[in-house]
Amino acid sequence: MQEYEAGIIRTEYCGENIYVIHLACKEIAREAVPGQFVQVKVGNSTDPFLRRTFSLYGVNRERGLVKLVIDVIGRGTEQITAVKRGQCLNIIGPLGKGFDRNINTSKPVVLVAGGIGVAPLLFLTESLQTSGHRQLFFFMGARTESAHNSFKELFPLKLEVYHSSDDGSVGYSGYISDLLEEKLDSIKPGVIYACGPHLMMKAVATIADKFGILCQVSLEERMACGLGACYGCAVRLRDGRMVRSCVDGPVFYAKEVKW
Amino acid sequence: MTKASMTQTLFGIEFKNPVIAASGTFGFGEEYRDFYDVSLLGGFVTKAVTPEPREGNPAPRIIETPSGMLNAIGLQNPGLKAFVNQILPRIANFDTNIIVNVAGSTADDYVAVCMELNGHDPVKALEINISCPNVKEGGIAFGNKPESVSFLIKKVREATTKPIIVKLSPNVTDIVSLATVAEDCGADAVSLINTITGMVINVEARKPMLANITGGLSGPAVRPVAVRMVYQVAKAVSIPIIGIGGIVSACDALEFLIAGASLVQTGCGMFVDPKLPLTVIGGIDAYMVRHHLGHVTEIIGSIGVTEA
Ligand SMILES: Cc1cc2nc3c(=O)[nH]c(=O)nc-3n(C[C@H](O)[C@H](O)[C@H](O)COP(=O)(O)OP(=O)(O)OC[C@H]3O[C@@H](n4cnc5c(N)ncnc54)[C@H](O)[C@@H]3O)c2cc1C
Ligand SMILES: Cc1cc2nc3c(=O)[nH]c(=O)nc-3n(C[C@H](O)[C@H](O)[C@H](O)COP(=O)(O)O)c2cc1C
Ligand code: FES
Repeated sequence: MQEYEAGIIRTEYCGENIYVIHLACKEIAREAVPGQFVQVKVGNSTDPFLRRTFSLYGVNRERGLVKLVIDVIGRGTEQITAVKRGQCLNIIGPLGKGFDRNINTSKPVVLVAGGIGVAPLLFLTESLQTSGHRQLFFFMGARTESAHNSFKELFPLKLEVYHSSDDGSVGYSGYISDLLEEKLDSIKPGVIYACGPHLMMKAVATIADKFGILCQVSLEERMACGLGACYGCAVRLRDGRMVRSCVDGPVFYAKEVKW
Repeated sequence: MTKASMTQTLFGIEFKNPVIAASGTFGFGEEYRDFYDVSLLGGFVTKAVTPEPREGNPAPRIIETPSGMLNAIGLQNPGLKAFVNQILPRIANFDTNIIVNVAGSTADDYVAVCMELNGHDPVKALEINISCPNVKEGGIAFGNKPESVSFLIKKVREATTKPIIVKLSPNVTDIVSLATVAEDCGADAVSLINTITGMVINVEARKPMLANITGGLSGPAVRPVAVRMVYQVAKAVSIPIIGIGGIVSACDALEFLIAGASLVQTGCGMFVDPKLPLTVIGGIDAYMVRHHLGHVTEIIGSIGVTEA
């Protein structure tokens, strides 16, 4: 991991405050694996003070590019997405432990995303597809139809996607975890990967446990340093230990986490 | 950056430059190694070490604030035994001063840590943390009254021959009197400030943002408070002072030196800028060149004040 001044190649607006930023950073593009994240500095002032944490949404190794998907929810994300093409973002990465991509590789894989949690799972999808995996089932939950529309372009063409929305305007009406539970018997996956709101991941973890399927989650615990130095991002594990999400995670086996 | 012009020998230890990484913001010295060699620093202070392992406070433990942050880590650490047997051997040959931050719930806890570490050469000094605002017992409970500071520091003084640095809390009525008590009880130096107790409320949920309810404020927001305290303490004690609080640039560090600190510590500024200590060292050097100063001690306490 290192600190880089990464030039902004392109920023796309997807609607609903969602942006995709393409950055030039050949080192991170070369090293990063799905599930890892970067710490992005916000401007040059001390307010906002801390870096902001974003999962990698994809990399292009040949061209040395990294991609982030950012949901603008406050001052930090607002300022980061307002930085113009040609200017730089100061980023530290790649950080954290990524997903284990070698779990039951002969069986179907299920990915479950809630909202912006889609970012690391799309990187994982791309990586699994590149390594020849064909049986991927992607479950995508978002609040509304327009939220789904803003994420739509992020998805690769050849991917089976199940949708759910809170208002039933797209796909299943209700929680994505409920839809997942309905489909599991027919898919019979070897592994489930999940990222999204805490309660969604908890529900997915419970379902995975019930069906006896291995499950990895990418937690979104608030971070300060992202480097393992401050113990600010502690997560309690079932064995009682408090571990640092930024270095021991953010990806954990769901059965290890004390939900 | 081992420039002669920055070297100082204080309480029997040689510091190659005046910049040290602060406790709780630098792990056990291994977390920043991808960014630079720790031997470039004047030293670093470890996360607090207590006799037994501590799991710390529940999450969330941190929240950003205007130009700073609140933390309520709660002294999470693997305990004295793990520090001595597992961590110390890994960091022992770092070519910089290792200072261990010592904490506990009772005076006996502090004494136990100090006695054990007395036998370990790689540990160059002990920073006695009597100022943690995030634990129910110990910490600040020892740091807010002259009698309790005196009681604890006398015991610690008997327990070790290593230099002791007493880390003072800003959450007190009169930090100067506590600093003089520490000096009188045999402290070799004082470091200040630890964090200032604060609170942030989630207005939507009408609940505290931190699981611990309150936390310790650090970052640029606290710097003027810290500089003021260093300035006042410098006038009252003759032992060296280590200035801490909100340093994010060489200019900030220079404020502390000019106010009377012999050394400074960089804390949560390193979360944003991991290479901050090196920037500060380089900036102090540039300042000395610009002001034609031959040695860093010419800056220390050089403030010109006409008191009304
Ligand atoms: C491992 C990890 C991966 C992540 N990946 C991504 C990703 O890929 N994409 C992405 O977009 N995000 C991601 N996040 C989340 C992202 O880090 C945060 O959304 C971002 O830091 C928010 O910064 P901000 O300055 O915009 O919001 P902030 O200003 O920090 O505020 C966040 C929210 O809190 C609210 N708030 C602030 N103060 C109060 C108060 N007193 N009371 C009530 N509410 C308040 C604000 O209104 C706002 O909605 C990730 C987080 C982690 C830990
Ligand atoms: C996350 C965090 C953890 C800390 N842990 C400790 C600790 O264990 N012992 C201690 O004496 N001070 C601790 N501190 C206080 C710092 O060492 C320092 O005194 C304070 O943060 C002010 O400096 P800063 O504004 O440069 O961060 C901690 C600070 C932070 C931000
Ligand atoms: S965010 Fe500092 S240790 Fe994880």
